[in-house]
Amino acid sequence: MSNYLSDQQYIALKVEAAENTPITPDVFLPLISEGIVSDLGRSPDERIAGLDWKSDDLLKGRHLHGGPVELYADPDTLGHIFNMFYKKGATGGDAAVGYTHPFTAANPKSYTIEIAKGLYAQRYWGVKANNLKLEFDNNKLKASIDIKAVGQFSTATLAVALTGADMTEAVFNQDYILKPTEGLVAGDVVVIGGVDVTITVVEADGVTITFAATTVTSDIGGSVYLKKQTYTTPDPVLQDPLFEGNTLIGVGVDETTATTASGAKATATPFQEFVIELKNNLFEQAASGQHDPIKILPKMKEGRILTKKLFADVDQHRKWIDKTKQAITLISKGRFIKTDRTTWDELSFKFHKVKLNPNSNPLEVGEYIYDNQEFDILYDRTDVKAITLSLVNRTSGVAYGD
Amino acid sequence: MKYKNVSKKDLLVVGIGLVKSGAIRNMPVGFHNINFEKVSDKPIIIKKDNK
Repeated sequence: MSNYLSDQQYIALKVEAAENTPITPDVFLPLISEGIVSDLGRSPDERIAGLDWKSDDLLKGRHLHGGPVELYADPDTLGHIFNMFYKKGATGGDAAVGYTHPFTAANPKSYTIEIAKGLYAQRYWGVKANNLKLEFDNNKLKASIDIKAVGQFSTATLAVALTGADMTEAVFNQDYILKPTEGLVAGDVVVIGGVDVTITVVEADGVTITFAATTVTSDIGGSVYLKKQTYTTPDPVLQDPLFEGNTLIGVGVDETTATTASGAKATATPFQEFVIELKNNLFEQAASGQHDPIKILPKMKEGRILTKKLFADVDQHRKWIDKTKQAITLISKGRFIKTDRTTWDELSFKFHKVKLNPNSNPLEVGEYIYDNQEFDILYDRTDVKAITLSLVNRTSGVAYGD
Repeated sequence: MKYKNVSKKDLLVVGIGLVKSGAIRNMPVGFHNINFEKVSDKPIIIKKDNK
């Protein structure tokens, strides 16, 4: 029996050309951890039936798919994270100066993601990010996202035996759902009876896949699984995440002042801790005719910023008491892109209106006094927006679905 | 089995090394990656003109 290390697995993704239509992921991201699960909503069948035990079976419930993924936020990875969280606008720039991707707080693109689990690949499609947390983890920008998906494919079970030479189709049973081939696409490789089979057609009946004549033997009830891919990374190797040491955070009375303050170390605010928490409040739309959600819809967006900085004066305490508007701009720079060193990877995140809710100054033995702050991110009626988000990196808009 | 890097990027493959975009390399049994396509192992036969 084989065992498998997490370190040798992967998460891969690709933006879907048509929303909620699976596609084979081809971008492999450097993963820290993931905990995505399918909640199949099953519950014990407790109907009164003369048993001396609570239940003799489980009944199907409504399916929900989702969970956390943690990644270090290098500029190219961050582009995919933002793309599944917010709506990307028109990308500017080019390979020589870097590509600039603006994002607005609107409905994001959907993704297909695939996570290798030993032998098999666990695929989710219709994926959007529900929550996004950005924080500096010992200087490195870490992104923690919580995703939701409309469906999953990982394994299936044969409903019709395959008997040897010149097999051209496999039929899956429907114990899981009525259309168990959902999630597969032509070109995928599934393993049946220990044989790699490359799918040529996923039939519309939802139970049949077709492939070129192959010698494969497997009984009814035999397992089928999506073969995991071989990990590849672009050259040069993995980018560094953005670093706190290359980040300046400005605070001001409005966005302009905050952005000006973020322009130099002398005017930026030195935070001990800085965490951004954003929510899409995604809603899983149910539908008749399927167990899975039919669509993932965003509800109202919200967010907050949690900070900790050394207490120096009463300014922040007063602004909390008075409910005073402030603005925050974070500019984080990566490596130079243009050879003359005038452009570089850059994350620019502007919060046009934030208010403290609350600000506290706790006392602890042997410790300095801090401003422990929680800012609610609010819509700014003056600037007609809550946030401005822009990312400069080395990935063209095509990879993000342009 | 030979595979071609059909992506627009140069890719590093674990255990293989760098494969330039468009390049063809021998890959071990079991290799599977959507950025690569199988290339026929059959030798290319160049027919000579009958004169």
